[in-house]
Amino acid sequence: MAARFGALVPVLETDRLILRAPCVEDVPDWSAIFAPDDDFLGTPMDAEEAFANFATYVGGWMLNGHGIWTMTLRGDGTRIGFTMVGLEWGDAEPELGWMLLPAYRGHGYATEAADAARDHAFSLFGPGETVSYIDAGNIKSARVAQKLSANRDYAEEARLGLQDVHVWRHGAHP
Amino acid sequence: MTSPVLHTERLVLSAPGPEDMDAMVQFFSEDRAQFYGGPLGPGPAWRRFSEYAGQWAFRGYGFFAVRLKDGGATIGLAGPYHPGDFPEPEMAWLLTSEAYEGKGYAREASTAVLAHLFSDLKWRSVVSYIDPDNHASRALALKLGAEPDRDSPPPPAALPGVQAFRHWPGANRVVA
Repeated sequence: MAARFGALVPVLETDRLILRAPCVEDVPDWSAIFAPDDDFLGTPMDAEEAFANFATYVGGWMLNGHGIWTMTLRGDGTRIGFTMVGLEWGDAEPELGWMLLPAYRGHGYATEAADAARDHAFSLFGPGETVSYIDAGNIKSARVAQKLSANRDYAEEARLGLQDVHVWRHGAHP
Repeated sequence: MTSPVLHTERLVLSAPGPEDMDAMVQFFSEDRAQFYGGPLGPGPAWRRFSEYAGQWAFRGYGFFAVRLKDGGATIGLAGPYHPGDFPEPEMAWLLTSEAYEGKGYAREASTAVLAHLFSDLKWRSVVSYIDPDNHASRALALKLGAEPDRDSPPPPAALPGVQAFRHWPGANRVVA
């Protein structure tokens, strides 16, 4: 059955990475990203919350037709993080997201993975229909958005009344 | 997605999908959802049902969506619920609306799921955790042939006060 679920999730390959369907064995690494000593992802989760939270994103593949990938190194398959074309309840549009385990930050992996996930989002929705919501203080993620050629959408920030979160829009409507 | 589809006289059971979301959000909004972590607002309900779907993907089993053959309406869920903190999968069931109660749907769906777990997946037994105040579920568990299981591993801390009932292969043959 897990194999059947895998058929729902396209495998994306980049120069250094393979983005594959998430599995239950990925949960501890998902938890590790949200560990309390983390430098920018804030809210800690216990194991139960982490399972539920990760399952929620995984369920997106069944309910929305898009969701989260586990980011692995080409070659030995080491898990290094996650990237997603996600959808939260009440969100007007899908969100491109990325998160790396601490040991793998600073090597351009997030940009490389998110670039592939963004292309997948474009294939589903066309350009200009996917955003990233990034905390105003999250300089590293803002840099990734810039490298992906995303642009701040000030009008959308105003419309949503956001103060501490920036909206980065990927691509432009043709 | 190719996943098992179970057919009964009046029902079709298959993996959760987007067509079930509205009925589940409605279900979680009502007091009837009290034994399922509710009532919940639409956002938390949306996330909870997404989590159910994700569990199916993770584990290869989970809640089946229960739909009427006649018209296709989503009337409930039935299947082994297995979040991160449960010691084992739990056979659970719910009907999305009071309007579907009293018609034998939960029994019909659960009978099919139990047969699937024991015959197709070769499970040796499965537990149901039942709140002492949930008289309808207790009655159904007994009708399905489950027995109180005092030797069960401790129920999850998230379900204080529940009683463990255990279903065994072959027990589910009680005729109404």
